[in-house]
Amino acid sequence: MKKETWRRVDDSLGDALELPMGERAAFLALHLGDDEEALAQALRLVGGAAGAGVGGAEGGRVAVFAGGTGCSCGALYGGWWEGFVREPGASVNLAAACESDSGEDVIEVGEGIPQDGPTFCARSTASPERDLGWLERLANRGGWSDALCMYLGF
Amino acid sequence: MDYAVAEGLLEDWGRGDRASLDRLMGIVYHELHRLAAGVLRGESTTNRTRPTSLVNELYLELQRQGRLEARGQKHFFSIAAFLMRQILVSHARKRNSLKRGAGYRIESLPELLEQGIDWHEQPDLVIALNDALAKLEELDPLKAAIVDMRFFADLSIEATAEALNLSAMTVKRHWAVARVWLYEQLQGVR
Repeated sequence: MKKETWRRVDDSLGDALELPMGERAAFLALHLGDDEEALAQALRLVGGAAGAGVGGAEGGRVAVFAGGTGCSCGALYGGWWEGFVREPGASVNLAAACESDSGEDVIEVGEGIPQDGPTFCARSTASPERDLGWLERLANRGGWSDALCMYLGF
Repeated sequence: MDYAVAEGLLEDWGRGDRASLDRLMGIVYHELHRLAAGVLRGESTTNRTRPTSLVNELYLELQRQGRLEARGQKHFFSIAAFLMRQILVSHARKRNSLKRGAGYRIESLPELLEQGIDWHEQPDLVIALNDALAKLEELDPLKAAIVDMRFFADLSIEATAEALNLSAMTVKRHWAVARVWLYEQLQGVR
Protein backbone atom coordinates (compact mmCIF):
# COMPACT_ATOMS: atom_id res chain seq x y z
CA MET A 1 0.00 0.00 0.00
CA LYS A 2 1.25 3.47 -0.80
CA LYS A 3 1.91 5.75 2.16
CA GLU A 4 -0.56 8.31 0.92
CA THR A 5 -3.26 5.66 0.69
CA TRP A 6 -2.37 4.43 4.16
CA ARG A 7 -2.64 7.94 5.57
CA ARG A 8 -6.16 8.25 4.23
CA VAL A 9 -7.08 4.78 5.46
CA ASP A 10 -5.59 5.49 8.87
CA ASP A 11 -7.41 8.80 9.32
CA SER A 12 -10.82 7.34 8.58
CA LEU A 13 -10.22 3.95 10.16
CA GLY A 14 -9.26 5.50 13.49
CA ASP A 15 -12.61 7.27 13.63
CA ALA A 16 -14.55 4.31 12.25
CA LEU A 17 -13.21 1.95 14.92
CA GLU A 18 -14.65 4.20 17.59
CA LEU A 19 -18.14 3.79 16.16
CA PRO A 20 -20.55 0.97 16.82
CA MET A 21 -19.84 -1.88 14.40
CA GLY A 22 -23.01 -1.35 12.41
CA GLU A 23 -22.06 2.22 11.52
CA ARG A 24 -18.49 1.67 10.42
CA ALA A 25 -18.92 0.64 6.79
CA ALA A 26 -21.23 3.56 6.03
CA PHE A 27 -18.83 5.96 7.71
CA LEU A 28 -15.92 4.67 5.63
CA ALA A 29 -17.94 4.83 2.43
CA LEU A 30 -18.80 8.43 3.23
CA HIS A 31 -15.22 9.47 3.89
CA LEU A 32 -13.31 7.33 1.41
CA GLY A 33 -15.85 7.06 -1.37
CA ASP A 34 -13.62 9.06 -3.71
CA ASP A 35 -10.72 6.63 -3.35
CA GLU A 36 -11.53 3.09 -4.37
CA GLU A 37 -8.28 1.56 -3.16
CA ALA A 38 -8.37 3.27 0.22
CA LEU A 39 -12.00 2.32 0.75
CA ALA A 40 -11.36 -1.33 -0.13
CA GLN A 41 -8.38 -1.49 2.24
CA ALA A 42 -10.28 0.20 5.04
CA LEU A 43 -13.30 -2.06 4.65
CA ARG A 44 -11.11 -5.15 4.69
CA LEU A 45 -9.34 -3.97 7.82
CA VAL A 46 -12.50 -2.98 9.63
CA GLY A 47 -13.98 -6.36 8.74
CA GLY A 48 -11.35 -8.01 10.96
CA ALA A 49 -11.96 -5.71 13.91
CA ALA A 50 -13.77 -8.33 15.97
CA GLY A 51 -10.94 -10.84 15.55
CA ALA A 52 -8.50 -8.12 16.48
CA GLY A 53 -10.43 -7.39 19.63
CA VAL A 54 -11.47 -3.91 18.55
CA GLY A 55 -15.14 -4.31 19.27
CA GLY A 56 -16.16 -0.73 19.66
CA ALA A 57 -18.94 0.59 21.82
CA GLU A 58 -22.54 -0.35 21.40
CA GLY A 59 -25.33 1.65 22.95
CA GLY A 60 -24.46 3.38 26.19
CA ARG A 61 -25.87 6.80 25.40
CA VAL A 62 -24.09 9.73 26.87
CA ALA A 63 -24.26 13.45 26.46
CA VAL A 64 -20.99 15.18 25.78
CA PHE A 65 -20.19 18.78 26.53
CA ALA A 66 -17.43 21.19 25.82
CA GLY A 67 -17.29 24.82 26.72
CA GLY A 68 -14.83 27.52 25.95
CA THR A 69 -14.49 30.98 24.50
CA GLY A 70 -14.37 30.80 20.74
CA CYS A 71 -17.32 28.55 20.07
CA SER A 72 -20.23 30.59 18.79
CA CYS A 73 -23.79 30.20 20.03
CA GLY A 74 -26.24 28.61 17.68
CA ALA A 75 -23.62 26.95 15.53
CA LEU A 76 -24.50 23.44 14.45
CA TYR A 77 -21.74 20.92 14.02
CA GLY A 78 -22.82 17.92 12.01
CA GLY A 79 -21.50 14.57 11.00
CA TRP A 80 -22.23 11.15 12.35
CA TRP A 81 -23.21 12.87 15.60
CA GLU A 82 -25.19 16.06 16.08
CA GLY A 83 -24.34 19.00 18.24
CA PHE A 84 -25.24 22.59 18.96
CA VAL A 85 -23.49 25.36 20.80
CA ARG A 86 -25.73 26.92 23.42
CA GLU A 87 -25.43 30.01 25.53
CA PRO A 88 -24.73 29.79 29.27
CA GLY A 89 -27.87 29.19 31.27
CA ALA A 90 -29.85 27.62 28.45
CA SER A 91 -31.87 24.55 29.20
CA VAL A 92 -30.79 21.47 27.40
CA ASN A 93 -33.10 18.59 27.00
CA LEU A 94 -30.75 15.69 27.20
CA ALA A 95 -33.47 13.32 26.15
CA ALA A 96 -33.98 15.23 22.93
CA ALA A 97 -30.30 15.76 22.42
CA CYS A 98 -29.65 12.08 22.90
CA GLU A 99 -32.78 10.75 21.24
CA SER A 100 -33.96 9.14 24.41
CA ASP A 101 -37.49 7.82 24.70
CA SER A 102 -37.86 9.71 27.92
CA GLY A 103 -38.46 13.44 27.84
CA GLU A 104 -37.51 14.16 31.39
CA ASP A 105 -33.74 14.37 31.34
CA VAL A 106 -33.39 18.13 31.28
CA ILE A 107 -30.45 19.99 32.73
CA GLU A 108 -29.31 23.57 32.72
CA VAL A 109 -26.22 24.29 30.73
CA GLY A 110 -23.64 25.21 33.29
CA GLU A 111 -24.78 22.66 35.81
CA GLY A 112 -21.49 21.01 36.55
CA ILE A 113 -20.12 22.01 33.19
CA PRO A 114 -18.11 25.03 32.04
CA GLN A 115 -20.00 28.25 32.69
CA ASP A 116 -17.75 30.97 31.31
CA GLY A 117 -18.67 30.61 27.68
CA PRO A 118 -21.10 28.97 25.30
CA THR A 119 -21.36 25.25 25.69
CA PHE A 120 -21.30 22.64 23.01
CA CYS A 121 -23.72 19.78 23.52
CA ALA A 122 -23.87 16.65 21.43
CA ARG A 123 -25.69 13.41 21.43
CA SER A 124 -23.79 10.20 21.35
CA THR A 125 -24.49 6.53 21.05
CA ALA A 126 -20.97 5.36 21.67
CA SER A 127 -18.27 5.64 24.29
CA PRO A 128 -17.43 8.65 26.43
CA GLU A 129 -13.78 8.17 25.55
CA ARG A 130 -14.52 8.32 21.84
CA ASP A 131 -16.59 11.46 22.23
CA LEU A 132 -14.20 13.21 24.53
CA GLY A 133 -11.40 12.54 22.08
CA TRP A 134 -13.52 13.86 19.26
CA LEU A 135 -14.55 16.93 21.24
CA GLU A 136 -10.96 17.72 22.11
CA ARG A 137 -10.02 17.63 18.45
CA LEU A 138 -13.02 19.80 17.60
CA ALA A 139 -12.10 22.28 20.31
CA ASN A 140 -8.52 22.44 19.11
CA ARG A 141 -9.55 22.96 15.51
CA GLY A 142 -12.12 25.56 16.47
CA GLY A 143 -9.73 27.48 18.64
CA TRP A 144 -11.86 27.19 21.76
CA SER A 145 -9.10 28.64 23.82
CA ASP A 146 -10.07 27.40 27.25
CA ALA A 147 -12.18 24.44 26.25
CA LEU A 148 -12.95 21.93 28.91
CA CYS A 149 -14.55 18.75 27.64
CA MET A 150 -16.63 16.42 29.72
CA TYR A 151 -19.62 14.11 29.47
CA LEU A 152 -22.61 13.13 31.52
CA GLY A 153 -23.98 9.64 31.37
CA PHE A 154 -27.65 8.97 31.77
CA MET B 1 16.31 5.57 38.98
CA ASP B 2 17.95 8.97 38.74
CA TYR B 3 16.29 10.35 35.63
CA ALA B 4 18.48 13.43 35.34
CA VAL B 5 21.67 11.39 35.50
CA ALA B 6 20.28 8.87 33.02
CA GLU B 7 19.37 11.65 30.58
CA GLY B 8 22.87 13.09 30.88
CA LEU B 9 24.53 9.75 30.27
CA LEU B 10 22.28 9.11 27.29
CA GLU B 11 23.33 12.42 25.79
CA ASP B 12 27.00 11.66 26.44
CA TRP B 13 26.64 8.29 24.80
CA GLY B 14 24.87 9.86 21.84
CA ARG B 15 27.90 12.09 21.43
CA GLY B 16 30.10 9.03 21.23
CA ASP B 17 31.27 8.59 24.83
CA ARG B 18 31.21 4.79 25.00
CA ALA B 19 31.96 4.65 28.73
CA SER B 20 28.62 6.35 29.40
CA LEU B 21 26.78 3.24 28.25
CA ASP B 22 28.14 1.16 31.13
CA ARG B 23 27.06 3.72 33.70
CA LEU B 24 23.70 4.15 31.98
CA MET B 25 23.03 0.41 32.05
CA GLY B 26 23.71 0.39 35.77
CA ILE B 27 21.09 3.06 36.30
CA VAL B 28 18.36 1.75 33.98
CA TYR B 29 18.98 -1.96 34.57
CA HIS B 30 15.86 -2.58 36.65
CA GLU B 31 13.62 -0.84 34.11
CA LEU B 32 15.17 -2.83 31.28
CA HIS B 33 14.77 -6.04 33.27
CA ARG B 34 11.09 -5.25 33.77
CA LEU B 35 10.74 -4.50 30.06
CA ALA B 36 12.42 -7.82 29.22
CA ALA B 37 10.12 -9.69 31.61
CA GLY B 38 7.15 -8.24 29.72
CA VAL B 39 8.60 -9.22 26.36
CA LEU B 40 9.16 -12.77 27.61
CA ARG B 41 5.84 -13.20 29.45
CA GLY B 42 4.62 -15.90 27.06
CA GLU B 43 7.67 -18.14 27.38
CA SER B 44 7.08 -21.68 28.58
CA THR B 45 8.98 -22.78 31.67
CA THR B 46 11.30 -25.04 29.70
CA ASN B 47 14.02 -23.67 27.43
CA ARG B 48 12.95 -20.17 28.18
CA THR B 49 15.04 -17.09 27.75
CA ARG B 50 15.41 -15.28 31.02
CA PRO B 51 15.01 -11.52 31.31
CA THR B 52 18.55 -11.19 32.62
CA SER B 53 19.93 -12.94 29.53
CA LEU B 54 17.89 -10.73 27.25
CA VAL B 55 19.10 -7.57 28.98
CA ASN B 56 22.68 -8.83 28.66
CA GLU B 57 22.18 -9.44 24.96
CA LEU B 58 20.67 -5.99 24.62
CA TYR B 59 23.76 -4.54 26.28
CA LEU B 60 26.01 -6.35 23.81
CA GLU B 61 23.89 -5.10 20.92
CA LEU B 62 24.06 -1.54 22.20
CA GLN B 63 27.83 -1.87 22.57
CA ARG B 64 28.03 -3.18 19.03
CA GLN B 65 26.08 -0.18 17.75
CA GLY B 66 28.56 2.11 19.48
CA ARG B 67 26.25 5.08 19.86
CA LEU B 68 22.57 5.78 19.78
CA GLU B 69 20.87 9.07 19.18
CA ALA B 70 17.94 8.61 21.51
CA ARG B 71 15.65 11.56 22.06
CA GLY B 72 15.58 11.22 25.81
CA GLN B 73 15.30 8.18 28.00
CA LYS B 74 11.71 7.43 26.97
CA HIS B 75 12.83 7.07 23.41
CA PHE B 76 15.69 4.94 24.70
CA PHE B 77 13.24 2.45 26.22
CA SER B 78 11.25 2.41 23.00
CA ILE B 79 14.44 1.54 21.11
CA ALA B 80 15.30 -1.05 23.75
CA ALA B 81 11.95 -2.80 23.21
CA PHE B 82 12.55 -2.79 19.46
CA LEU B 83 16.07 -4.23 19.86
CA MET B 84 14.85 -6.94 22.25
CA ARG B 85 12.36 -8.02 19.60
CA GLN B 86 15.09 -8.08 16.96
CA ILE B 87 17.30 -10.23 19.20
CA LEU B 88 14.52 -12.74 19.82
CA VAL B 89 13.49 -12.80 16.17
CA SER B 90 17.09 -13.53 15.25
CA HIS B 91 17.03 -16.52 17.61
CA ALA B 92 13.72 -17.71 16.15
CA ARG B 93 15.07 -17.53 12.61
CA LYS B 94 18.01 -19.71 13.61
CA ARG B 95 15.67 -22.30 15.10
CA ASN B 96 13.16 -22.32 12.30
CA SER B 97 13.71 -23.72 8.85
CA LEU B 98 11.08 -21.28 7.57
CA LYS B 99 12.76 -18.11 6.51
CA ARG B 100 9.51 -16.19 6.39
CA GLY B 101 6.35 -16.44 8.37
CA ALA B 102 4.08 -16.01 5.36
CA GLY B 103 0.84 -17.93 5.63
CA TYR B 104 0.73 -17.98 9.40
CA ARG B 105 -2.83 -17.59 10.58
CA ILE B 106 -4.12 -16.67 13.99
CA GLU B 107 -7.68 -17.00 15.19
CA SER B 108 -7.75 -14.44 17.97
CA LEU B 109 -5.43 -11.51 18.46
CA PRO B 110 -6.74 -10.70 21.97
CA GLU B 111 -5.79 -14.20 23.11
CA LEU B 112 -2.32 -13.79 21.72
CA LEU B 113 -1.99 -10.38 23.34
CA GLU B 114 -2.97 -11.78 26.69
CA GLN B 115 -0.78 -14.87 26.59
CA GLY B 116 2.25 -13.30 24.96
CA ILE B 117 4.57 -15.12 22.60
CA ASP B 118 6.53 -18.22 23.38
CA TRP B 119 9.66 -17.15 21.55
CA HIS B 120 11.11 -20.68 21.65
CA GLU B 121 8.07 -22.73 20.79
CA GLN B 122 6.44 -20.44 18.20
CA PRO B 123 9.23 -19.35 15.86
CA ASP B 124 6.90 -19.27 12.85
CA LEU B 125 4.59 -16.88 14.67
CA VAL B 126 7.55 -14.78 15.75
CA ILE B 127 8.74 -14.46 12.18
CA ALA B 128 5.26 -13.75 10.81
CA LEU B 129 4.75 -11.03 13.40
CA ASN B 130 8.13 -9.54 12.74
CA ASP B 131 7.53 -9.47 9.00
CA ALA B 132 4.18 -7.76 9.58
CA LEU B 133 5.82 -5.25 11.92
CA ALA B 134 8.53 -4.53 9.36
CA LYS B 135 5.80 -3.57 6.87
CA LEU B 136 4.08 -1.43 9.46
CA GLU B 137 7.35 0.30 10.32
CA GLU B 138 7.64 1.35 6.69
CA LEU B 139 4.08 2.63 6.53
CA ASP B 140 3.67 4.05 10.00
CA PRO B 141 6.68 4.00 12.38
CA LEU B 142 4.71 5.39 15.32
CA LYS B 143 2.19 2.56 15.23
CA ALA B 144 5.01 0.03 15.00
CA ALA B 145 6.63 1.56 18.10
CA ILE B 146 3.30 1.37 19.92
CA VAL B 147 2.97 -2.30 18.99
CA ASP B 148 6.47 -2.94 20.31
CA MET B 149 5.57 -1.42 23.64
CA ARG B 150 1.97 -2.63 23.97
CA PHE B 151 2.23 -6.06 22.43
CA PHE B 152 5.80 -7.18 22.84
CA ALA B 153 6.73 -5.42 26.07
CA ASP B 154 3.22 -5.62 27.57
CA LEU B 155 3.23 -1.99 28.67
CA SER B 156 -0.06 -0.34 29.59
CA ILE B 157 -1.67 2.40 27.49
CA GLU B 158 -0.56 4.93 30.07
CA ALA B 159 3.04 3.68 30.24
CA THR B 160 3.25 3.61 26.46
CA ALA B 161 1.87 7.14 26.26
CA GLU B 162 4.43 8.33 28.77
CA ALA B 163 7.28 6.57 27.00
CA LEU B 164 6.37 8.03 23.62
CA ASN B 165 5.30 11.42 24.94
CA LEU B 166 1.77 11.06 23.60
CA SER B 167 -1.66 11.30 25.20
CA ALA B 168 -3.32 8.07 26.29
CA MET B 169 -6.14 8.87 23.87
CA THR B 170 -3.74 9.08 20.95
CA VAL B 171 -2.09 5.79 21.90
CA LYS B 172 -5.49 4.08 22.13
CA ARG B 173 -6.44 5.29 18.68
CA HIS B 174 -3.18 4.16 17.07
CA TRP B 175 -3.28 0.87 18.97
CA ALA B 176 -6.78 0.08 17.69
CA VAL B 177 -5.76 0.68 14.07
CA ALA B 178 -2.50 -1.23 14.54
CA ARG B 179 -4.38 -4.23 15.94
CA VAL B 180 -6.75 -4.54 12.98
CA TRP B 181 -3.79 -4.11 10.65
CA LEU B 182 -1.81 -6.83 12.44
CA TYR B 183 -4.79 -9.16 12.50
CA GLU B 184 -5.31 -8.74 8.77
CA GLN B 185 -1.63 -9.46 8.15
CA LEU B 186 -1.83 -12.66 10.19
CA GLN B 187 -4.70 -14.18 8.27
CA GLY B 188 -2.44 -15.99 5.85
CA VAL B 189 -3.39 -13.65 3.02
CA ARG B 190 -0.86 -11.24 1.61
